[in-house]
Amino acid sequence: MKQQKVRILSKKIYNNRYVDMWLENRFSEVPEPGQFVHIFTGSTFLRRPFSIGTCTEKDFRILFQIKGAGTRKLADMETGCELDIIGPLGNHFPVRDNLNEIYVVAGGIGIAPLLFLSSSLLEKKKRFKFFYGARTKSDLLDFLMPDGDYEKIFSTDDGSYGEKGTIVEMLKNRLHSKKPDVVFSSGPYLMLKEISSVCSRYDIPAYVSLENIMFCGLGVCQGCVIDAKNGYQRVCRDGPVFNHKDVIWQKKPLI
Amino acid sequence: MAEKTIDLRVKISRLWLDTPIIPASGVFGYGDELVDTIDYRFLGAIVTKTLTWTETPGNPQPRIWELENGLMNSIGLQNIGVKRFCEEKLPQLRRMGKPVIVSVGGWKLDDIAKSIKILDNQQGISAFELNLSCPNIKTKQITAENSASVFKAVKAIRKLTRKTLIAKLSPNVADICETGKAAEEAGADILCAGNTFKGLYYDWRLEKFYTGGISGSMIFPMVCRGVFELYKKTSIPIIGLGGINSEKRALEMVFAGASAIGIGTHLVIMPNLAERIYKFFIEYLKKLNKSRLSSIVGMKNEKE
Repeated sequence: MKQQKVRILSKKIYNNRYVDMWLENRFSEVPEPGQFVHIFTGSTFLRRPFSIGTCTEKDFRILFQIKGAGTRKLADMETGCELDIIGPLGNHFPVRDNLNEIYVVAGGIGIAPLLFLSSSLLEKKKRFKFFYGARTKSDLLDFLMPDGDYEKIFSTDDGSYGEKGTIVEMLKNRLHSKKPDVVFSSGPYLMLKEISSVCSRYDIPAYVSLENIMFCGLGVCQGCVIDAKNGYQRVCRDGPVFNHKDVIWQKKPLI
Repeated sequence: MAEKTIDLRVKISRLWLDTPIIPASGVFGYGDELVDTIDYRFLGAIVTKTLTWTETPGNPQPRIWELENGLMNSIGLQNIGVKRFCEEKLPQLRRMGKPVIVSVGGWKLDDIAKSIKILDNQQGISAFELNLSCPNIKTKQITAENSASVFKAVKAIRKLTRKTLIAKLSPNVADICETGKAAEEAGADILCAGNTFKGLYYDWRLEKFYTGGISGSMIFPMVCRGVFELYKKTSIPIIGLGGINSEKRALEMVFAGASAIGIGTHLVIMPNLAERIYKFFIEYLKKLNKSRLSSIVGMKNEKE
């Protein structure tokens, strides 16, 4: 996890707000799905963490929504520019050998690390279903999902694509008939909180990727901690992927 | 004329540092966590986060607020406590071959004294930094915010150890020279100016105010002024720490009177900052045909 300069290899912007950016892979370690990079954009004081969303030997992807000054600046950077990054950081989704039926659940732009995860599951020839929900059709980036033999379940809040309703409802509907070995999820905090309560009810192991305001990203400053059953846990180092049972869920989202 | 060999090792008081650039306590963990990210060769010493007598869980979240040119934090001295530090962390630090500065703080002077007694018997600690100025401790805190309490605290700790004692001064005072002089008179070997500034942040999402300590480039002018004045009025070495985000700011701190400089917030944001400052110091000394940093400490300042 050295600080390094990497080149932007390509950039595509969808619907004026979603950026699919590919960067040079100069990592000294092989990233795992769930890990992130800490990027200095120059327009905000702190670095910004981005999930690694797919990784090959040559390059890796970050996928983000333009929200504030940092993501705006990043979105405006051209192919060929260099970015100052630190990574790969954090832990990853625990894909154990004994998992045979996996449910991957993405909410909105939370799909980023799950693109990487699903590619990796395909490589490992794991059986999985991919649940992907968003507010409306233009928020669904389903065309970025890797090709392969797995079931895709889509939902939108307004029914403009896939089934109408939240992706947690879609998950619940299918849990009645069959239980997976594990659920891996990433998305808005309150969605993950619901996933957690659903998985508790059905007694299914689940791992969720959390976000928080982050300073060092390296595990030293203790700034990004969340309340957990075993005391404060650092999102950047003990996470970002947590066993849902360890998290003490709050009323309001962390960020 | 033959070029002089430049040696950036510095001796401040009795403490030898490998370089004049040290990490600030708090953003450097217990000292060995960042070996993969920061090149330790450019650091003068290892500085631990502040240790308290007992394990401290720290403050509830949120703990970090981003500002335009800085950061407000309220970590609340989260740490594993002195005993666990000695068992779990110190053995690794000893093997790293660098001077180890242990930061010690807490709520009661008695607790700090107990910590120092234990730590003083340990091998491999070069100096103590007495953190008398953490702004994020809400209960009855030992403050370094008036000269009487600084004098009392430093005096009490001085009796317990012969190791180099660094008094970390609070910037949240009317005149830092008053607390600086008190620390010097009480027997501190080195002054460290400083620590974070008290601040307030309104969170519009959570609809409430938060208090914390401000760091980052926005505090540099105030810290540098403190160093400038301490250099005139005190006679022990000064570590200038606060808001340094570039090679030039680091050198300005030396011009003002700092014998060594600390980098914290910006070291974590830019892990290569220490290396950049190191190289800049070498270049600058080369230009002046000087071989040691001590010859330019306070160069643009005058002792009173």
